[in-house]
Amino acid sequence: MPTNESGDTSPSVMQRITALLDAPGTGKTTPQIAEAVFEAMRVRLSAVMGGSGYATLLRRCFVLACRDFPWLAEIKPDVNGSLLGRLDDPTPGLHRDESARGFAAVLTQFATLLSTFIGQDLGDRLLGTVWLDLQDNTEQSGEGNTI
Amino acid sequence: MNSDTSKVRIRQLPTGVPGLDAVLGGGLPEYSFNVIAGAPGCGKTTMAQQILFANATPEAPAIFFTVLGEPPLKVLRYQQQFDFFDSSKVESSVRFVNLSMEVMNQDLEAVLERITKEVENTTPGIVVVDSFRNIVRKADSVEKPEIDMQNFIQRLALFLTSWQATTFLVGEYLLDEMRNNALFTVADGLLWLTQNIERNSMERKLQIMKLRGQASLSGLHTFRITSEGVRVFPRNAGLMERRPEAFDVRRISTGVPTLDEMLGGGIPAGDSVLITGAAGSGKSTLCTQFIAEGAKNGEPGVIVVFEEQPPKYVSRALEMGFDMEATIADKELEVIYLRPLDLSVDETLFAVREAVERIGAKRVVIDSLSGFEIGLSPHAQADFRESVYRLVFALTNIGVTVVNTVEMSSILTDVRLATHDISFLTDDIILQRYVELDGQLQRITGVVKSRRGNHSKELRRYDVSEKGLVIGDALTGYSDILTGFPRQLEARQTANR
Repeated sequence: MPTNESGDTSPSVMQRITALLDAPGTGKTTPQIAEAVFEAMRVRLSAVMGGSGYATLLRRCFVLACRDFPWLAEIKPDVNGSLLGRLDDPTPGLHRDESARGFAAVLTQFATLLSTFIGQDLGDRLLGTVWLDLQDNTEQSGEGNTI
Repeated sequence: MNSDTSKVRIRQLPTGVPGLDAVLGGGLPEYSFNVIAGAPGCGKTTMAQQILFANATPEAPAIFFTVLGEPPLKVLRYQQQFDFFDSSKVESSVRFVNLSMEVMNQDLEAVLERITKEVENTTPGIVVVDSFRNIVRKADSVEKPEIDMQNFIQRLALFLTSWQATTFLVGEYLLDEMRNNALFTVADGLLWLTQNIERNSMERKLQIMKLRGQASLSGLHTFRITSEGVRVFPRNAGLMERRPEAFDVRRISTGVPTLDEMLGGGIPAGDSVLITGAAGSGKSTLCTQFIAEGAKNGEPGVIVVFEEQPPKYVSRALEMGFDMEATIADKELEVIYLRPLDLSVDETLFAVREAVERIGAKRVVIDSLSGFEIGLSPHAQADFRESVYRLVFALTNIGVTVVNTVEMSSILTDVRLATHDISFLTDDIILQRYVELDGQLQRITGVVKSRRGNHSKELRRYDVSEKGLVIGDALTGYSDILTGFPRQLEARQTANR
């Protein structure tokens, strides 16, 4: 288990979120799971930072993650930061693990940027609300580790 | 006759801004609809957030609506640097909601709808909209808005008050904009922040332009923004509203028996005394003796130093046999050194009041008024006389005896009592000056004025020894003493005198 910035070994909020991407047996593809995760982030975080504020930050994260996962360059969030219907096409034939690592890189960049701007404590608080929403979705669907 | 139920009792919320509750007259009226206005950069957002964090609880959370202007992430980034910003409250007790989209679309109805929805979902105790001015600007740019601004403000105020929220609309406004502005008519409270820069000094001021339902302190109050957030210094430091002490007929000793005699038995308690003299004439020494005498008699003292560093004061006192450090440790004395430059009178008053109240001081020394003036910001210097009046009146009003010193610029020739015509503020004046006598520079002292009248009219020689002032005999047989160059009278003239 990687350690977070505070040095403890408990998973950070974003580590919990990214772990959802690597969940075989859920009946959903990684892009589908990523889409749900990004949508939950958009709904929660654009309420706080505004639609364009969230979209801009997300675009920046894709650019940063592109260095390690060039295929992410094909993915463009809309003006409000929505990725609905935008994750499948650029990644045909991509191995599930590679896909999960790429989206995880974007999410990690997001957490890092958030931490850079407003600190890890506050960043985790905002991401915590996203995590709760994702958990709610999981419980409502009654499918265990599914979102 | 009023019974407990005949009038609604408006609960006052603590603002969490030190000094602001006193200025507001006790705190924020609950459910009030307020405006925090002022030019950009004068601390509106900081004040609003300080109030918000002070009052937000899980049961009565707060919503901070951000509008166009400072991006929300930046608000969070910078505001969390303040001590009041409690990250653990974010999202649990404090919610940040962005209204930019609704405002960008110039749709007031949508703005109102979004605020309504968020407030109904959260039922907050505190609501802040920052910046409300941006909503107004955007709406004004629409030719035929679906609802006009006045209607919008009325509905917003009605809704938020009905929902039992205490509201703050934060906006950049100029004083000229107060006229014919529906917002200021509807608002229950209007807090106006300003900042003035003159030469290299900046002074921030707060004014409560309006507050329904309770009496606030009028006038301009200094405030500062530090890492703790906003701190307000009420202009009378809370001393004016205190009931005056019963008239004290006692006379208290200066610590110099001969001077007590010259004063007619000491200083009338609760008086304001001015010691005026040239540099090195012994003003600070006399002040030390005055405070030491108080400590001996169970009358705690406060020394407000503007020029000399406290260690120098302490060391001189020790040479005179007065252990200031021990007295300070016994909480019988406080020495306040107010850092020079950019001081406001309000801050000075506040520091003095706190010290006076901490130890129940009965004697205060302000050494010196000249240093006080130099330490003031240029704006405050313009009102120096008023400043001294406020400081002295506030202290004597509560029965404290105040000794001020003022330095004369010229050693020999200056015969003025004070450089700023502040003698009218004092009840008693002690003059110390140099004269040239028999080819020597000598010191003379006299009591120029005493409130109770029966003081000595003599001018006496004195020395400043290691133990303090040693006052000798009256200087007789001379005229023109106060010019600094006395003339010896002939024996006949002396006899006639």
